[in-house]
Amino acid sequence: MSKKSKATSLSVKLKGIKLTSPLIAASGTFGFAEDFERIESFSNEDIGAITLKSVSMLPMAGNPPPRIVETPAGILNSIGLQNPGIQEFKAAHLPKLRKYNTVFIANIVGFSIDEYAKIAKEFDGIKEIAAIEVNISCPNVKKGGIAFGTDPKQSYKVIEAVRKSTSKPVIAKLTPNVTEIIDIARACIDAGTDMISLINTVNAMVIDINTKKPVLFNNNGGLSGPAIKPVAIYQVNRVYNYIRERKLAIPIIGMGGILTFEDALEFIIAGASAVSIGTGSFYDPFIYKRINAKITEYLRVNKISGISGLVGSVTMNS
Amino acid sequence: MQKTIISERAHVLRKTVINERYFKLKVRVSKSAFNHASPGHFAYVLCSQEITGRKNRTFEDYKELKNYLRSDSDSILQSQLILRRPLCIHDAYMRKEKGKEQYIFEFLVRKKRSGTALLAKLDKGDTLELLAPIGRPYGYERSVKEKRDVIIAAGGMGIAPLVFLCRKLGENGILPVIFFGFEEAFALNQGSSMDDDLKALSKSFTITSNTIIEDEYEKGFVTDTLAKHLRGLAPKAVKNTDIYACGPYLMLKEVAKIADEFGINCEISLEERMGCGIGACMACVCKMKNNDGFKYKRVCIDGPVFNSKEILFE
Ligand SMILES: Cc1cc2nc3c(=O)[nH]c(=O)nc-3n(C[C@H](O)[C@H](O)[C@H](O)COP(=O)(O)OP(=O)(O)OC[C@H]3O[C@@H](n4cnc5c(N)ncnc54)[C@H](O)[C@@H]3O)c2cc1C
Ligand SMILES: Cc1cc2nc3c(=O)[nH]c(=O)nc-3n(C[C@H](O)[C@H](O)[C@H](O)COP(=O)(O)O)c2cc1C
Ligand code: FES
Repeated sequence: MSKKSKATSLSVKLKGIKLTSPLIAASGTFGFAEDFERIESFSNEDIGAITLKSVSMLPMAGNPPPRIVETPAGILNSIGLQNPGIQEFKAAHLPKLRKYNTVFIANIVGFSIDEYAKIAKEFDGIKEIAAIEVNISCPNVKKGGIAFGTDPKQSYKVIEAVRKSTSKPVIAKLTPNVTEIIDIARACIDAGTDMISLINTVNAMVIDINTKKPVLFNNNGGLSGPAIKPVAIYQVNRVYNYIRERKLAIPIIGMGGILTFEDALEFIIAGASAVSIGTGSFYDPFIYKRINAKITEYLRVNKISGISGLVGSVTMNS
Repeated sequence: MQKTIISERAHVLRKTVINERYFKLKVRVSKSAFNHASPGHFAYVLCSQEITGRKNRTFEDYKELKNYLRSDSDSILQSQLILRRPLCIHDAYMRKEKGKEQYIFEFLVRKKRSGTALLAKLDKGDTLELLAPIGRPYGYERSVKEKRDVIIAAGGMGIAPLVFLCRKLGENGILPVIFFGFEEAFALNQGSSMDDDLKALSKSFTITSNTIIEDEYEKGFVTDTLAKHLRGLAPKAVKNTDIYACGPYLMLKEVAKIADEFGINCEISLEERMGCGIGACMACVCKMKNNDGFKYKRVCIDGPVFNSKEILFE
């Protein structure tokens, strides 16, 4: 779990998990932590925590290509949760995690409540994993394809089942594709989640005007990158206010479009205790190191002793 | 994990405009990027002018621009194209400049839309942020070791990685037979020495086109000339031949079919849209054969070069 590390102004603590930086690699954009390490002078250890790609019980082939398209200030993806399944993950990828002195968060998907419970149990037994993030944006095949995460009752059931299957901290990852995010957040909190992360990608489509067909093979996909940042800031702030009003101790991991240190700080000021970065690392793989340095300087110049002093520090216009 | 991908700010030494669609960029890279580079590798480049363009703007060095903005702001990054663009290493070599070794990459670029249009604005003195070299290159070293005959089949922009390949083969005493087909005014001779380079680096250099009619060009598809050539070879010569190909999907599918018919080992470079460019996101996959079904492999790291027998063409 948390490894030996010197506390600095960047250190944060999330439900007992110590991170050396508030920056976390977002699920699906960092594989199983092997790939960025191909780059000279890149170090996984510059990242506070690494969220692994979503893993399901059985392998998933994913969608046919094209799976990605660039949009104004963002990208649209429809990877389709391609992953090797839990058994192959344990055999081929897990042993490689041990090399790195950083924190790993698993991310799980399932197509039934039962499957979520099973996959959570699998990760519960893996000591390299500090927490389990639950991707509830997957369609519920048993219930006609509606995503668990857009229905408060279904969200409750998934988190409840995961909660019962593990003693590790549980993080509910919320989708922004809902009318009232507070309803989903409340359901996850009632079901016993330890933390909340948001936002996952925003449903979107790009059409080629020459072929009159969507560019993605899957027709629609999930929008990420700077384009969704203001949406994410708003949702983080709303969930933060809900949690604060009820005096709950549920840290928020904010994400969506972080490219600069200012973006990261904006999330923290809006109420996030830590932030995840995905798309931004495609642009600049050294984004973690760059933002770490700039936040450190920001804290020093503004005489702030640590990140926690900034969390939720926004004051609304009355 | 071996750290073989270098992230660096390359210096643009020269831009050569071939015509309104095509240009070449010659950049200076580090010794380490050069040493890791092999034919078939690509570079993943940032296209955003504000960062990589004039006045040497880069992540660390865009102070000038900041003066227009709030001091200390990073927000200029937000107006940029998010994705990098993959470009094959068209050529790579070392040269001596005033007694000092310089390591050079060349890129041959076809202007498509936003990103490549921005790259076209780069010029001498500018910088280019790149991650390179990336991917699985051509297995030409085996051809060298086993003293094989090499055929190169290129279609259109598929010529891009093959000049570097010819150079490496040449350094090892192999002169390939080149078949090059194109349908769009490529103007090999205008302001570009590629034509001469390729002639010097090959046993024969045959150009085919259906649309551009010149006395010295063959009419038809590059795959027609390739098949004709193979039919003219003695069985023993066919057996000792390797094919390296790059080009449009349908051409590659045909090349793979021909290679299969003649029982020739053939390596093909594929293209797919990329996200991270380094293996992490699973955006860039292509279908590969797997028992009776298929599996997806990443073009960026498992490729871009694959054995033609592996690829499940559709
Ligand atoms: C391994 C590899 C090597 C390549 N080498 C060269 C080269 O040496 N010279 C050259 O001119 N071109 C090369 N290409 C194609 C080149 O990457 C695209 O033409 C370029 O990305 C188009 O960018 P754009 O912004 O101008 O076009 P847009 O159409 O605006 O691009 C939009 C998005 O689609 C992607 N995209 C568009 N076309 C392609 C394509 N054919 N392959 C992959 N992604 C694409 C872009 O990267 C970008 O993310 C290569 C592609 C690959 C995959
Ligand atoms: C290519 C890609 C793949 C993703 N895969 C997953 C995934 O498997 N599971 C998941 O929970 N989120 C996934 N996401 C969503 C991200 O984790 C993140 O929530 C989202 O991209 C917003 O952050 P960003 O704008 O910094 O990328 C993916 C995003 C991208 C761009
Ligand atoms: S582009 Fe991300 S895996 Fe290839």
